[in-house]
Amino acid sequence: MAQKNKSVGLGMKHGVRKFLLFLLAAFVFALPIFAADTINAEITARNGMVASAQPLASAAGLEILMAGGNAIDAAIAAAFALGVVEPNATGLGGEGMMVIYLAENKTTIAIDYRSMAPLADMSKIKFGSEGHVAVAVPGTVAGLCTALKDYGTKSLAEVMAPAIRYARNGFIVSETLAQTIADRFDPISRNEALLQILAPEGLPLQTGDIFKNPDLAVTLEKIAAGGPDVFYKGDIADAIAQDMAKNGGFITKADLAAYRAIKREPVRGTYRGYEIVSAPPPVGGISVIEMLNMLECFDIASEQPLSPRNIHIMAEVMKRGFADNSAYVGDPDFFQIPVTGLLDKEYARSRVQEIDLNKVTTSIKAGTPDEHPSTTHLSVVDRHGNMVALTQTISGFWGACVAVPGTGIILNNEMQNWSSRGPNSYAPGKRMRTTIAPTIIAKDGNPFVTMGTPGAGRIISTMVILTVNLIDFDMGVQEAIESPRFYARDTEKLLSLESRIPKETQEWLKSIGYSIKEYPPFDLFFGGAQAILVDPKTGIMHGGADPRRDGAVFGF
Amino acid sequence: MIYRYSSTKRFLAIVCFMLLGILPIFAQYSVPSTLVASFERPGFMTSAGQTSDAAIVKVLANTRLKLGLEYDIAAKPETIANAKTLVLVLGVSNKGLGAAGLSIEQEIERVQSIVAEALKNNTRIISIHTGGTARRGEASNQVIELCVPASDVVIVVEGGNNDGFFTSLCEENNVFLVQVPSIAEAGNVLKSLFEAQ
Repeated sequence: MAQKNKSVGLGMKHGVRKFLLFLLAAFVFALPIFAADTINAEITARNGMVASAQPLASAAGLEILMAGGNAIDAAIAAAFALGVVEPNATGLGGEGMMVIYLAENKTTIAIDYRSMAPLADMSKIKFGSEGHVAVAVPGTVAGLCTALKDYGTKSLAEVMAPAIRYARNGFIVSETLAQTIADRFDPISRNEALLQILAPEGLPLQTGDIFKNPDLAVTLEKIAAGGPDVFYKGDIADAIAQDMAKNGGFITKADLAAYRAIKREPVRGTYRGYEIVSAPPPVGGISVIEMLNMLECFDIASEQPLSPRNIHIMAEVMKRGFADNSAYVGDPDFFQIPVTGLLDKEYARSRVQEIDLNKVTTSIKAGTPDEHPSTTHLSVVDRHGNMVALTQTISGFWGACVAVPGTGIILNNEMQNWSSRGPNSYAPGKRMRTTIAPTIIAKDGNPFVTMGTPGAGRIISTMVILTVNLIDFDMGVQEAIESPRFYARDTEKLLSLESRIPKETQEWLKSIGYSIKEYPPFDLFFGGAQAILVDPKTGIMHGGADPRRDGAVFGF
Repeated sequence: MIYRYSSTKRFLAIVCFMLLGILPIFAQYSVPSTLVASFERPGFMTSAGQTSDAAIVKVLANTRLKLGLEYDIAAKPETIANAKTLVLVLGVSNKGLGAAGLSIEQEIERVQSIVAEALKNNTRIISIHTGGTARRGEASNQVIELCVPASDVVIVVEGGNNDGFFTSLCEENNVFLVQVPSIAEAGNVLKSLFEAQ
């Protein structure tokens, strides 16, 4: 009996010891997951990673990485796929901007594939947000094909294969996508071709339905086989031009044939010792850097990330940055933009002199620097260290609510984005300004973050918040993305914020003069960011995707 | 002791279980005969809250089911004055409010005024809710609480009643509730309520 007890005792002690060791191991390995309370897990990988606004698009990019493609191949694959599986936000009828880091020669390039006003004089036209008149010449096909041709390693047919499959076989409609269809169903129902795509049985596609776009599959196959000329000069161009002519639109075959993607030098700045490389005008990267320059004048990290003082300072900075964006940013081929002035640290210091830490500024004008963006985003890193930050759009969700019959192509409504005067005023052939700001962050010359977000006017402010979260507060990439957001600009009285910002903080902000508009805890009004961070010490990639949209990160 | 059921009894038991299983389905969709084909024309549809669901219900009602309802997402009392039946599509949408240039306070005032106009004119009211529970925020609930008590019947797609909100509200106000699995079925119920054209 004693022996039995002894053996039982030993067994128990041994069992308990093993159990405790297991608990300890589980706790240690689980630490990275539980260190921050996030909805999505932060994904890690060593060989390649794709973060995009839709799981199928991320899967498309990963498929190409695993087949030996580089980051550019994977980004192009994911971008074409996004056009199928997030058709409300991007597609062949849209445009975008990407920033590429090439590890081999340590260079960074931006590809501007923003849409362009038709060459006809439309100065007497009142631009709205719907219909054929709202459509600008799309740049997606040119931009993606240029990037692949010059920096990729795979063929167009290979990288477009996943997108073609999704268009032909269909995919399951998410709640997010179904809601965008419901929200815009009125204008959607006014275009027969678009209605056929989004309401094939008379009622809009619902969550859980299978969304197929066989016409788009055929269009993608034509481009895969024939290259971008099929879109800009061939029978797809014919279809677009005919639909335009029939419906009072202005885009002609000549406009399409004249379109080019443009390689530009990214804008560069620094923030607390980190290099910030972002998309140049006519998009928002310059304003992200200007705002970070202003923020650098404050010791943000001395308080909690969402302290009342920090929110106030960042809101004041956002308003000044937006004022300058409106006053100075436009198409650089049509307007002399004071890039150096806007990026100058001294200029930023002069702008923040006006900020009162205890009172909101109610009226903000643009400064005087010397010299003189319904959207989606993806980030890709490959095992060689190449990085892509790519943001593309059709402007508003569902763009102009117009589809080109027989092609599956949904057209942008970028012509609504002109300003009545200033650097972003309309001119034939000009590219309109937008806020998109795909960005790469580097330290000591080594890029380690690629990130971006959709979100219309909130893109710039969200990019600033993400940068501060990563650099000032050393958050993990998923935590940085999920952290509560807010937004202020010069033309709006309200400070918009997510309801997770504490009530006491909101009360303090009201006490110094803010009027607040509260949004739900995670609202896609503030964008849907995706980011990948490569740990400089270990080389491990950490990916984050935004639960505000359907974001997903895949890696291997 | 082995108790054997006769094959007849076994058959009857199976049939009963089957009936019990499908009865709830009939009960959910069934509309009392007093309501079927009892709603007169002309009918007018508007939103209560500027929900985008109104555009979908309009397509369902008029394009698919050919009910011929007049429609204005932001109808005022004077536009519904001649309607014999008012169809309210319930739900507050911030985007919709923005597009209509209305604050939530103004929209609530508008909804109150059209409900009051309908009651004054003995216009019967059908309320429809097609959205989910997750999207149904405080403002939507406020508008729903305005409309349901004045309604003759409420049609709800079941995803929007997971919390029993409509069930309680209809019970408290003695309003008939029809719960359906889909927007398409909501349309079928709506059609059954109107008199033949």
